[in-house]
Amino acid sequence: MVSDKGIARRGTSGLAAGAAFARSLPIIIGLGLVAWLAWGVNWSFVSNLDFTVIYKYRVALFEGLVNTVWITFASLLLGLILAIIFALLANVRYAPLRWIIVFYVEVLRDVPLVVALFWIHFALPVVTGISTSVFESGFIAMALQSSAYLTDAVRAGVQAIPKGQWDAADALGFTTARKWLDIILPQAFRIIIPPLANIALGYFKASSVLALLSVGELTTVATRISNYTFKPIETFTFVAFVYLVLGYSLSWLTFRLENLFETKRI
Amino acid sequence: MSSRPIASPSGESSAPFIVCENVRKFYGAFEALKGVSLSAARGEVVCIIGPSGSGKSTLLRTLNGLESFDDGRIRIGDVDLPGTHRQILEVRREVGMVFQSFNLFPHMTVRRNVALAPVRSRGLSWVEANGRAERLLRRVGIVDQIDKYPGQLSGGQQQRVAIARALAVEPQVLLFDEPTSSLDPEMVQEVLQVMRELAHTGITMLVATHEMGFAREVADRVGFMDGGTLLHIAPPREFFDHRADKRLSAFLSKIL
Ligand SMILES: Nc1ncnc2c1ncn2[C@@H]1O[C@H](COP(=O)(O)OP(=O)(O)OP(=O)(O)O)[C@@H](O)[C@H]1O
Ligand SMILES: [Mg+2]
Repeated sequence: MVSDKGIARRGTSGLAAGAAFARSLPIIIGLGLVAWLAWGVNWSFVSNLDFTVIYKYRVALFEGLVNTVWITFASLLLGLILAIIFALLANVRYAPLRWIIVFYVEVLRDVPLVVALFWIHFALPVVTGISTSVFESGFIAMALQSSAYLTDAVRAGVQAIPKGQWDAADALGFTTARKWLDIILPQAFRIIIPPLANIALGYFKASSVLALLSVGELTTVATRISNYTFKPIETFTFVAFVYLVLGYSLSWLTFRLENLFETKRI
Repeated sequence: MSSRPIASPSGESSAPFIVCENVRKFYGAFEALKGVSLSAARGEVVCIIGPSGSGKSTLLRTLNGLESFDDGRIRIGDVDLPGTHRQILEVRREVGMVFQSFNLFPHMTVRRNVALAPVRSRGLSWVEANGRAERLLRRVGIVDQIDKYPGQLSGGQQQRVAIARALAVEPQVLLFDEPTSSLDPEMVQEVLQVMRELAHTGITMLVATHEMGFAREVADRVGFMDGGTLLHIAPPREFFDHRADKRLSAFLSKIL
């Protein structure tokens, strides 16, 4: 410590002052925050809060939550299945097929979910003559778009499998299907758990934009309740809390899943 | 030392099981195999030595279709490579391979590593295949590790599992690509001992190796590769004592 101070004293005064400022920055910000909370916020709203709306609309909120979880889970499952198929096809030695997949992934990745949602709901019926319910449109938009991200994740996982594993499977006379099912995909899956969980969390939250079409998931329900009761603070505080709890559970589940795979093979 | 006859003891035809004629292989413009001819009879043990980059791995890998080749002829049993996809699978079930870096499946137990291929490639039931795995693992001396994962084993143990795994498909031929080169010195012998015992069972073995003692003792013939060419091949006594080729004697004096 003594020599540290010596060096600081010998350094240019400008540098020392800068360092001192950087060190006290959190304290300054902290004090500012406290001051704002004490004098800047009009705390009187607290006495007017009425969380009984949550209880009153619990059934609707629960249905919204179920819809959120269901549409996220189902669309990601379909997305993952598509992604595995695309990742397999990307390994085929037929260049045009690979280009198509690259194009598909790029397009879906660059288009915002809302735009994809509106396009599927309003443009697709005109183009194909098949019209979908808002829920189906939301499901399709999320499945297609997540499949693009998941294709990248699965492909990266597959590429991370060492060449020796492919050699060993080939040398034992495995068919292509068996090689993928027994050797490549199980190992790739282990690698892609973290990115998979990130994507899942992202879509769990992103499903709230489906409220723009009133798909009936949690945010749609919350918007309706808030508009009807004029109690946005209570409603959205509660909904934020629900997203938080579910998001955190997902992270925890991922952690456990990773550990499970980890302990199995030291 | 090698008192075993070259022809198989069961008196099968001694027509070579593996025949290579003038095999050439290019990686882009680089010629990794410059016309290699080699044949191996059933039950024969052939060791191939040579400096790094001389094409030993490439040669072995063309024999089970892991690498394609560009010219010449390779015949395994009664299949001319490259055959149809189905024929390649057949050849691979007759020609097992043991790799320098083991390449065990890390997400499966030792038992499953060995039992998987018999189930998938030979149509055994899991019960039969597990029994076979147990027998083979006993034979290579690691049956007590059967429920562990490869990552929990030493290098020597892993390579012995890899040998058991290759044997589980009941191949006619085993290719060894420097099976002891990535092992710590104290584990080399345990693997060589397994290979020595294997050599006396009548299975055909092609072994790329730097273990001269093993080659001298176990091989029926020893070949020397350099720069993509099989320069010299002869029974071990003649090979090591006469050193017919200048490059061979330079190589041997460097490593012996
Ligand atoms: N996939 C590849 N692409 C390009 N060149 C390659 C490839 N594989 C091997 N080679 C080249 O072919 C030559 C022969 O390689 P090979 O691995 O067969 O040698 P080796 O005798 O097995 O050597 P080592 O003792 O180092 O294993 C080397 O010069 C190597 O650089
Ligand atoms: Mg090699």
